[in-house]
Amino acid sequence: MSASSSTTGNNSSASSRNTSRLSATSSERVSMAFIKRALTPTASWTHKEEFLDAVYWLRQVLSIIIGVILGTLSVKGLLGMIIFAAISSLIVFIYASNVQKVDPEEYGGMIEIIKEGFMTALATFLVSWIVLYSAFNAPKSTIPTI
Amino acid sequence: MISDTILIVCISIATALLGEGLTWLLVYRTEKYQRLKGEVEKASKRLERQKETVSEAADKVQKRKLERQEEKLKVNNRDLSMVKMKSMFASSFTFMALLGMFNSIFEGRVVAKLPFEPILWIRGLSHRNLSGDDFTDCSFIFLYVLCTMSIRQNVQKIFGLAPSRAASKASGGFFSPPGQLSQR
Repeated sequence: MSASSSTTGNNSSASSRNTSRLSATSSERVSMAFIKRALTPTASWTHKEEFLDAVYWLRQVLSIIIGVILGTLSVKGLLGMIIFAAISSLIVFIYASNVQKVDPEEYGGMIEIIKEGFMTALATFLVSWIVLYSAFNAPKSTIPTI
Repeated sequence: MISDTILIVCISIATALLGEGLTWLLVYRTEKYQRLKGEVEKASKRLERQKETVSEAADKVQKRKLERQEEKLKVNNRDLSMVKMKSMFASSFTFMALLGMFNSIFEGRVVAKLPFEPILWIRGLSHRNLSGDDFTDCSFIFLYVLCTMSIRQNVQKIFGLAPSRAASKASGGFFSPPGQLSQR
């Protein structure tokens, strides 16, 4: 918490924190302070976008991890997709409601938070799943590779 | 096969970085773009805030004011995309050429094994230029598109080049129906 208060302790953000509504701002570059805040339970988010960015990156990391695990275990078919969608949504839900304890209404409902960055995460998951699956299940090809 | 897979992932990382670098050089660092982007962002934030208050007390005059602001925002957004257009053309031509080149290099090769059987309308992409009936064989183009989808977005996010959510919502995203703003 000390890290979050030191990074947000300027005059302009202090006034916006007092208002009940969070303000939206442009997505900023990923910084160390941002990562620290994302890992702090019930951190104070000065901008609406900041929390959504945290959810976005959480999803990206999750999709790589799930993709690598499923690829290594050679999980096939629809089951893999369902596992990905269920686990990543569940963890995002737990992160938002139990770890950060945000008010979903600020972000247009829980569905909006869970939907955040889903398509990109799906693509990331598919790439890591396919790459790992191919690595373990590649048939011995006679064609020379480049 | 696996070396091809990894090569394609590397190719898409390289092209994503190249593309963003090119766009930064031609568009993002220009003063006109910075100014327009700032304006659009400020306006969409203001609009979002105002909509929250107006929806509770629907007043005709206020609503009209809101509509006028929306119009202004739309004009600004259009200007912004016009500025972007120039580089979009340049980079898309380059990437078409690159894609054509890679496509001919990997033509007819199975670059990866899919862990699932793609649904019918994706098979055209995932089994392009491949022989045989094994639909779990993956062609270059499918893997490349997937990699680009994920990597490009992440590169934009890391460097802070992606448009803010408020602005992309106001400009009418790909999935949001047109006229969504004025309906509220």
